[in-house]
Formats: sequence, C-alpha cells, structure tokens
Amino acid sequence: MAAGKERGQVLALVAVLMVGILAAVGLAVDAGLVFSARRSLQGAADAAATAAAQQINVGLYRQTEGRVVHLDPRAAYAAAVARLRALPQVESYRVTVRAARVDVTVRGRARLAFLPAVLPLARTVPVGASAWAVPRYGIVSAQ
Amino acid sequence: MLVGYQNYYYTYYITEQVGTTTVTRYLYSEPYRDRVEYFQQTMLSSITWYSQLTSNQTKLLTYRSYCWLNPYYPWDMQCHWVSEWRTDQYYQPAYRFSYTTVYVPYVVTDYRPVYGSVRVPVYQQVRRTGVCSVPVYQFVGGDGAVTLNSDGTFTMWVPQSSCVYSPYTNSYLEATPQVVYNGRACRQQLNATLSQYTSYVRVYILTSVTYSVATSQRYQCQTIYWPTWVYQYSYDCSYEVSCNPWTNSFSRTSEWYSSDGLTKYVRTEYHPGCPDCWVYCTTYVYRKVDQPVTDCRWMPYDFIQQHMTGNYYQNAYYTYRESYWYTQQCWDTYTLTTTSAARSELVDRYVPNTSWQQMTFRMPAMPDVQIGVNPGAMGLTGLPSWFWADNVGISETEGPYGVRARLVPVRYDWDFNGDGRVDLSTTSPGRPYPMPSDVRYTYERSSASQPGRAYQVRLTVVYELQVNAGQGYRTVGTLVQERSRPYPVQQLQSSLGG
Repeated sequence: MAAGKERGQVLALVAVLMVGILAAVGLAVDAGLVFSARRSLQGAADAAATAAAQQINVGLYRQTEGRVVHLDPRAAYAAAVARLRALPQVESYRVTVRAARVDVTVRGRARLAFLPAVLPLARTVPVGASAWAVPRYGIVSAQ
Repeated sequence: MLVGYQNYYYTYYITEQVGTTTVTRYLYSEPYRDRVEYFQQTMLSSITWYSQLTSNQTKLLTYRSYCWLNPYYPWDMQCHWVSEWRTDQYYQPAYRFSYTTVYVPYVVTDYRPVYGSVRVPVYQQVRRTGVCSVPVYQFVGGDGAVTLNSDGTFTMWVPQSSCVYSPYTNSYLEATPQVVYNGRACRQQLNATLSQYTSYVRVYILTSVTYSVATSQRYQCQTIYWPTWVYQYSYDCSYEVSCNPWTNSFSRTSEWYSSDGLTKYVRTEYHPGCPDCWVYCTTYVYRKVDQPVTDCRWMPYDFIQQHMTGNYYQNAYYTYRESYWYTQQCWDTYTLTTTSAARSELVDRYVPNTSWQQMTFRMPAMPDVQIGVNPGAMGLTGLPSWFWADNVGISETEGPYGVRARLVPVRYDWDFNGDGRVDLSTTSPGRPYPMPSDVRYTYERSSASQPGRAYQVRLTVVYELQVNAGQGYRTVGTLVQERSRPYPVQQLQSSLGG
C-alpha cells in the first residue's frame, strides 16, 4: 500500500515550509522596521535642515539693504537642534552650518521584532540619515 | 486829496523786505496840519506857529508795525503801525528875525509820532501755470489749492477776497490778459469783509487800471481802510483864567463826537503859565465826507516801477508814447455811513470784474521728503521693513511786514502695499537706519503679483501752514504732500537635498 506508506510526509513538508515562511515573514517585518526607522530619521533631518535654512542673518541682510542673504550660524544651529531634540527616535545628530548651506546628520536605532527571537542577534540595529538645505530667495509667485 | 488846503502832506510808506531787496511802498499822503514847531535852540520852551515855509525835509525816524491775520479771513492781514517822522524845515531867518543878516538857515524840527492802521489783504498769486504735470496740493484750510512750480516755488490758488495792488506782481510785462477768478467772488468777499467794520469808516480805494495799445488789459485795485476825518473849520475857544504864580505851562487836547457820530471836535488848549493868564484854545471840527472823491491820472508803466522801488518823483514829467503800458490810477475816497447795501454798491462799483491779489506772507518751500526704507533694495517677507520720512523738517520763510510763515509736518499717512488705504498714521516721521524705526510693516506675501513686481509705498505728509504776524504762529491751512516709491519684496524658501 504505497498510499499508506506516504502518509505523514505531507505533514513534515508543511512543517518545513512553515518554518521557511515564518523566516521570510520575520525578515520582511524586521526589514520594514529598519526602513521605517530610517525614514523617520530622514524626515527629522529634512525638517531640521529646512528650519535651519530659514534662519538668515538679519543684521547682514539689513546692512546690505537686502542684497546678501547669509545664514545666521547660531540661529540656524539652534533651530535645527530644537527640531531634532523634539524627536525621540533621534539618538545623536550633527549639524553643520555654513554661509549658505546646512548639513544635518542624525543617528538612531531600529528595533527588530523577529530575528532576535530565533537567532542570537541584538534586538536593535543602528540606522542613520542625512540631509542638506540651502536658502532660496527671490520674488516668486504669491503663495 | 483835499482841495483848497495847504499843499503840505505827510507821506506814508511801508518798507517791505523782498528777499535781499528792500522795497518801499507808497501808502498814502495826508494833509499836513496843526504843525507844532519847536525851536531846537530853546529846547521846546517856546512854540511858534508858522503859516508859510520855504522848504522842508522829512525823514523817517522809527517805524514799527504789527500785523495780524483776520481769523475769519486768514488771507487778509490787519496791520497797525507807529512811525515817527522828523521834519527839518529850513527857512530864511530874515523872514523871522529882522535883525539878522546871516543866511545860514535855522532848522526847525518837528517830532511827531504817527499812528495808523491799515488792512493789508494777504496776497495770493493767481496765475495759470498750464503745466499739467505739476502736482497740485489741496489747500484744506481754505478754499483753494496750491501748485508746485517747476522752480520749487508755490502758487496758491484761492478765491479772491479783495483786490490788492502789490509790487510782487511782476505781471506788467505780460501782454496776455490774466484769466482769474470771477470778480463776483471777489466782490462778495470784499463786501463780507466790509460788513465787519462799523459805520463811519472811511475807505480809500485805489483802483489801478492798466491799459496798453493792444487788446490786453489788466485790472488791479487796492483797498485801504483808513479811518479819518476831513477838516471843516476851527474856532477860537480861548479864555481867561485866574493867575496862579506856580502854574507851569502845559498843553492838553481833548476830542469828542457829535450825537450822530458824523462830526468830531478836537480841542487843543495851551496854558502858557503865569504871568500869562490866558488860555489859548482852538477847536477843530472834522466831518466825514459823504461822497467819493476821485482823482485819476494816467501813468506809464515805468512810473509804477519807480513808485514801487521807492525812486518816486512826484513832479517827474513823462511823455506818453504808444505801444506801451499805461496805468490809470484813481484815488477814491468814500465814507461808509449807511447800510450794508451801500457798501455793496461801493464794492460793485469800485472792484473790477477781474482782479487779483497776493498773499503778503511768502509760501515756504515744501521740503523734498523722500521715503526711506530698510532693507532698501529688497524687502523680505516675515522681516519687518523699517520706514521713515527722509529730509523732513520745518520750512520757514519771512515775508514782507515781518510776517513769518512755516510749514510744520503734523501727520504721516503710510500706505505700505499700494492698495490706497492708510495702513499706518503716525505723528513721527520714523527713524532712519541703522536706528530701528517705529514705522514698520511686515509683508506676508512677495511682490510678485504686484504691478512691476513691486509694492508701491505711498507716504502722505500733512503740513500745517502756520503764519506768525507778530502774535505767535497761527494755523491758516493745511497742505498735503505725497510721495511714493516702488518696493520689491521677496520671500525666502529652503531647497532641500541629500
């Protein structure tokens, strides 16, 4: 009875497939968490750079009758840091302000959900993002 | 002038300051009566009455005038002056002293203060500029307007109140007739002015009509209000008094009026003191003239020029030529003793249909106010722009009769975005950069959608025209000056990368 001998092999096959599927799903979930965390950090960096690029040197602007638009380093740095400190996912940051450019680099960690449960791995992995912004000015169409 | 009286006159002038030039203007002459002549040698201890003189020379010693503006007609100015004249009279001593043979003339000096008042209408120069691009400033305080001429001077346009002859009208050289306001307004205004005066006010109206051989003609007239009385007769009222050995000599004068107010009596008494126990008294009787007395004469134009510049020679001889301007001057004397209807008749009769007048205070030059703004080249949305009125201040001039006029900025109306509405009205002109100005405006949108891609900032400066005629500055009107400038405003954005 060949049919009787093969009974039970399907169960083993299903078990093997289930392990594979669960591993694939776990990897996908953890990867999504990593990308999500990175996306969040990128948004924080963009917001900080955008806020910093709005902080122009008003004194210089008045002194040059509006002909020179430079950033105010102290105000720009403060604006960027204020944005970054309000976000809990940001663990560390670096803000560099130049005359007409702001560079922001942020670091954080992504918490994994599946892989640390089945493998001897850390529960979080480091992620990072960076952005830069420059002030643009001119007589553009009304908002 | 009075006919049949001694041909001696007091001549009244008004000295006016025209820029750096002093212009002496002839006002009028009056008969030279009741002269009291004092001997210099005896220091006023004796008085001699003379009936005939050989020559005299009159000099002006002091002259002070006080002018003020009629609050109801601020373009009319009332003046009161006090002048003291010294008349040195030369005569041959042989006529007076028979024992002398020296022909060195004696000098008889007469110090006599002269009090007078005159209503000098404030002039306005009314002329057609014909330049459409000249900005016109509304004359709020009165009924008229002020135009800014190309040379920085101002021409004030107001309805005329009375007709004035003034040396500042250099219009004789113009051959085209002046088209000015209707004389009806002039007559109405003058009539209204006349109605303020009480009865028994004598009015001299000098009507000067200038003709030329061409068809052009110009009318001028002058109105001077001068209360006076016409000498009628005098009688002796001397009387004897009981002699008081310690009485010093003295004189006294008293005057009174008849019940109808038409006759004035002036009684002068001289008490020589002891041992002369006789009071020398004379009563002079004056009476108003009820009919106008007109004295007209034709004079060439250059005669008027001499008249105005003070080089006036009464006996100068002129040959009338053709193709020249001639002026007919008429002195009309009239006494207002009846109702206002007669005054209207007087005005209608003596005020020509077209006339003009000038203000006797000089219009101060309006400051060349500019709009200052920071940042000046380009504004920024969200950044307060600082504005201020640059080159603003009080402009002051001094005209004839010492009348000072000034323009005082009192209000600044700001329209920052050119929509025609006043966004901010301040009494402060703001402060120039680098000081932060209290006049500030924050733009929320860029000027991209504006004509010319720039906002039109408009500043309206309201000036008060204040005139000081000796009794402090008084606001007689308001002038408005407008300035505008384009102001581009940009906005700031961030360009993101990385």
